[in-house]
Amino acid sequence: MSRRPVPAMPTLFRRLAFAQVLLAIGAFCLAEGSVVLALVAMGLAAVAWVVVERRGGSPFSNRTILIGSLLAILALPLEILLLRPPHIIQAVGHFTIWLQLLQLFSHKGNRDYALLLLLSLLQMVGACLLSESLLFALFLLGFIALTLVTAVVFHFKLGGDQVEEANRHAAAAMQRLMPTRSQTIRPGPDDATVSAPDDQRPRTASLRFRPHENLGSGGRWQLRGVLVQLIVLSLLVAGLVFVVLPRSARSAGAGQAETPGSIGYSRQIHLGGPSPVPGSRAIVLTMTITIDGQPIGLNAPHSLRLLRGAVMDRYDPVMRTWHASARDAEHDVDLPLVHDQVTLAEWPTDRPRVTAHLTLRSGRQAELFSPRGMVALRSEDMDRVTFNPREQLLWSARATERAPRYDLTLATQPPGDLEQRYEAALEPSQQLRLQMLRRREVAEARPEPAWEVDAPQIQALALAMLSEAGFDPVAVLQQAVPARDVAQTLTRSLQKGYRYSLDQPATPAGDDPISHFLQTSRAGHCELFASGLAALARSVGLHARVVSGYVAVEYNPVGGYFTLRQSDAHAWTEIDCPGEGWITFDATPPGQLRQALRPEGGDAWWVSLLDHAQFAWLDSVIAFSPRTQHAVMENLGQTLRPWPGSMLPWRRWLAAAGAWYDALRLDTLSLALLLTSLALLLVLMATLVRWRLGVRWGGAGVGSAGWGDHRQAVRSLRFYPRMLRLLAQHGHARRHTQTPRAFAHSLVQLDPLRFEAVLPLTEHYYTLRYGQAAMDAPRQRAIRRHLERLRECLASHAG
Amino acid sequence: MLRGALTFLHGYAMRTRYELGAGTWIYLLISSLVLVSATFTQRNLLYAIFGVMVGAMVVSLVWGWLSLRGITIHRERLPHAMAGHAATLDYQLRNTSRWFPAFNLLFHESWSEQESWRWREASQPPAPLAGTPSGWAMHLGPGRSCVAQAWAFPQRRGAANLRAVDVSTRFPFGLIRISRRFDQPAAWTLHPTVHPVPERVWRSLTRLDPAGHGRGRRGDGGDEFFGLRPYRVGDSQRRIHWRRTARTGELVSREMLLPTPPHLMLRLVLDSPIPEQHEDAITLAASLIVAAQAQGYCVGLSVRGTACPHFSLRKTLPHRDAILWALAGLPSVPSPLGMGGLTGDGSDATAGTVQQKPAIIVQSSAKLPLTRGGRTLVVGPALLDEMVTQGTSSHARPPGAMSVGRVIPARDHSGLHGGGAPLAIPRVKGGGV
Repeated sequence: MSRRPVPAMPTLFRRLAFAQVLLAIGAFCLAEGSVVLALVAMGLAAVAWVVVERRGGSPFSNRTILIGSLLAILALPLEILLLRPPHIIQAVGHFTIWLQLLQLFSHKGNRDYALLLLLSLLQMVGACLLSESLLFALFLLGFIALTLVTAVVFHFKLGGDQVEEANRHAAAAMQRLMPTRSQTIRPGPDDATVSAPDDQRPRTASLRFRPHENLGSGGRWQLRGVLVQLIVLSLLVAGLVFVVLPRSARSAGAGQAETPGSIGYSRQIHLGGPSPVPGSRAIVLTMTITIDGQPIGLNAPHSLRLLRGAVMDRYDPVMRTWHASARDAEHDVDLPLVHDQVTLAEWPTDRPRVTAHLTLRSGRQAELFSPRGMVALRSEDMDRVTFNPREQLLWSARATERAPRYDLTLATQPPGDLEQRYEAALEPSQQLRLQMLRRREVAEARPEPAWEVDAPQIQALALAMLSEAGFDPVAVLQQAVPARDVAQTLTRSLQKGYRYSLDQPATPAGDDPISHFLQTSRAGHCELFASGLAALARSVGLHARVVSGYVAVEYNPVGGYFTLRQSDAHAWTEIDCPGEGWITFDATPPGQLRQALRPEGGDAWWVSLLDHAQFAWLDSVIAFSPRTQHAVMENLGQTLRPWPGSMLPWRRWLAAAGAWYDALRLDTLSLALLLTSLALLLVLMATLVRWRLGVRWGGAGVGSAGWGDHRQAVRSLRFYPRMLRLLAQHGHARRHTQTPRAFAHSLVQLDPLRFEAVLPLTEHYYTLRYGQAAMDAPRQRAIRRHLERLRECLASHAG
Repeated sequence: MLRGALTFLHGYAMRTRYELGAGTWIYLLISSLVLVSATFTQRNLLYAIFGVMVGAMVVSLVWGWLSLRGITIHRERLPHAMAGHAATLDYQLRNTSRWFPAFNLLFHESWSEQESWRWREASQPPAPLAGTPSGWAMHLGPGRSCVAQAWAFPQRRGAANLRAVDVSTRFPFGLIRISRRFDQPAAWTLHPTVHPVPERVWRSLTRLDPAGHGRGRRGDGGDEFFGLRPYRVGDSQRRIHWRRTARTGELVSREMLLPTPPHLMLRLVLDSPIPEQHEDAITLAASLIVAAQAQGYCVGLSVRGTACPHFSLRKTLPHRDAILWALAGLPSVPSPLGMGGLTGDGSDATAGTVQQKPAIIVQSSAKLPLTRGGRTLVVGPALLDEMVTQGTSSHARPPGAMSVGRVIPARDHSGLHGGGAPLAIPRVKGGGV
């Protein structure tokens, strides 16, 4: 069976197609995290390029390709069923990789290349289901751009091939009708059927896509410019479609590769061992803090930078562990979600409105991080929110695995009646239940704060600290001193008299870690500071608990937000101040803490830029949600909305211009003068621009050249306008009717010695302009020498 | 009305069409699959890929329309073409847009029988053109124009009624084919196939030697001595051959040579009901006409068997083209009214005027390649086979191929460069050309 002739592929298209296939395979391997597969696939692709695509290459036979395809088909169900049952996408992706590699080794025509590009597209679609990292996004962006360019080049090639094939078939059809009479019919060397004779065969060689042959320099520049415009326009339309397409409330999950192994902090704090090892540098979340809409950075109050993760109110002296006690579930109420928003309290409008926007990087975290003093919570990633007004704690239940985002409204100075305010936001039935609970608490009296460590030394230490600050110990023990003042005093004492250190050895056996920290070592990590403050507060009769979470110390100036990493895990203390609720106190020295958590090189601009790029990618694309979509559409609508009334934007601008004109209060004469001045100014500017263009381009006489040729010609012919300017300065301007050569001869006839350099310069001009000569170094030197000579002659004559 | 206005403005009407190919439907299918996957999985990256696919589609539509909007095409003067030989059609492409360059412009002719030529029955004559004349222009900058060529493959003589020129582009991504049709009706006459007349055949038909000597001559006139003859009244005294006069005693004059241009009067008799013989006779006549004209002969033609104008003896190139044009216009199917055979002496009885006696009669029903009919040669379609055989063996090029009607060096038209012996057929005494 004769094989259909396949036209030779242009090198540019083959390279682009190979690059696209390799990019898709590499992106899939990156998404899967399989380095071995990537190395094997790239190696085979390189071999395919050497074996098949080089000059005189020998592709594999169809039988070999068929056997390879059958093996790949057999391996697909085996991999799905036996090896990796849950990973169908990976298995199908491997199958696609092998198909592409086999295709690379085969003899390819246009359809084969189209199939190859299609497979690479499907490969990339599958990779999108596996990864959402920024690196993969870069691969995806490169793949999109490369695909668009390849499509353009492929379409060029198809155009030429289409005409070539049409002519070939028409020639064959013509000669089939007169096979006995046309003696010039001879079978072609590359065609088993009757082909056109040599003198009648279309010159198909000119139809092949060879940009450097078929396109001039100007055409190539235009094609490049058009390609850039096409890519930009396609991406713009893609962005519009991306924003407009409806999303469902059921959100997407992030890839498993992005889920961190640990969240950094712990729900149980174990003391007594060596200092904890800081967590990894993996980013947990980003937080933007704004006050009345204005983002604030490192000037944000410290309490707002603390994100609560777990609250521990019971200390086990045997296990030396802080943990959460059995919470009083009676106070738990389900907050109503209205438009994905929970309002805990109505906030006075005269106070600054503090908001915090949290974007978690992983969808596997169920914690609801929240600074204290939250009055409103908004997120579409919550199915149910449970609130305990007594403990001022929030829990959230989510059915989504997408990286959640929260918008929190906070109180910088929570009012004393916050609990009542919280209750006021509840439904009446919930309010009634909480009021009954409160009455029962009043009747039963509030339990005393429990302290598991009976250490009089700790109480003595606390009283000593308070005495040093001027408080009366007796009054303190009798609760006569405000709890906030007591807590603040103890906090300051710890911050001043104790040292933050992550290099402390384990507590000696038999010693309580908290007592050892407060009395002996006087140095430790944040958990010891938080535990020490809680112990000191409890020793003087205050309710205190330890909170673990994150502290925001790394500010990204590019994005204007805090970046919280696993290594930013922190612990602090909350003390229940009567009338104010639970107040946050961080006894860890802030300077030492910041110095310890500050990453090396964290201030580098490129590090911030990279982090922001990752954040922007995740926040804008990966976590794009119906709420984001609604916000974008709302902003777009506000931008395009007529204002006021039904006025169109241009009418608005017209109205603004009219108002501006009214404000000027110009009379008719002044207005006429103003308009005339503006018109003169415009004419002057146009004249200047035209003169400049005329000097730069018109003088060179390259107006008929293409765009790309134009720049090059102007660059090389710059000396001629310079010569003309030089001559014009001495009263020898070239008339428009004169050709350069006629002008040069007229000057030479006028004064041969003075203008002897004009002739060679003009010859150089002709040679460069019409002789397709290049401006090489010797020519440049000669031109420079002639110009100098001309300048000297003109100057000497003038002198 | 709008179309009329456009016709008035541009000189021809334009229509724009949008077409989706098979690849586009596959593209749309994949786009739909990506959208379904994105909706099912709610993966924003899939939404982004779907957006890019939609963006490519929209950009293809908009950019293709913008780039084709300013394109006009004008078919240049139709060249001479003959059946069996490819010809080139020239087109002037112009981009009137000031901003948008055009890339990958495909253009092709649309002719009247194009739609049905593939479904033509075997009994019907083939369409005049095989395929569609197509051309390609890779780039046309804004405000630029270029001349592009398209190849046409005539497969039978006759008229190809060109109707319109379609310009299309799939730029940039090959997804949407946007085409504009420019109505430019024209009738393109395709001449009959012209085969080279090998030297042996030509020598058999004429009494000339390969060098072209032995042309027909007649005395009186010119500068070359031809012979002696008795003095006639009016002869110049300088013409009197005094020595012979003195020897014979009678006035004897010198007669000078007057070259007579060779001529070939051809009669085409279409009396065979077989279409193949009918066409072969026309082809043979055209070949002989072209070969003779290339040799410098005055050629003339009369046709018996169908309506055709009479062509007297002339030597000019337009005259030859007019003969070929007339042969191209002969009906494809033999007319039953004209199948009456020849008169006894071969004179034309149908024409009411006195015409020159033909030297060669091409008879479509003749069985032999060459027969003698008094001073007239009668050739049949079988001679065409001899010519083809001889021409193939000598690798002769078809005279005037691709260049009919243009100024061509004589050596390309001679057809006398081949070697070999003449055909073993009886030489006509005193006849022929």
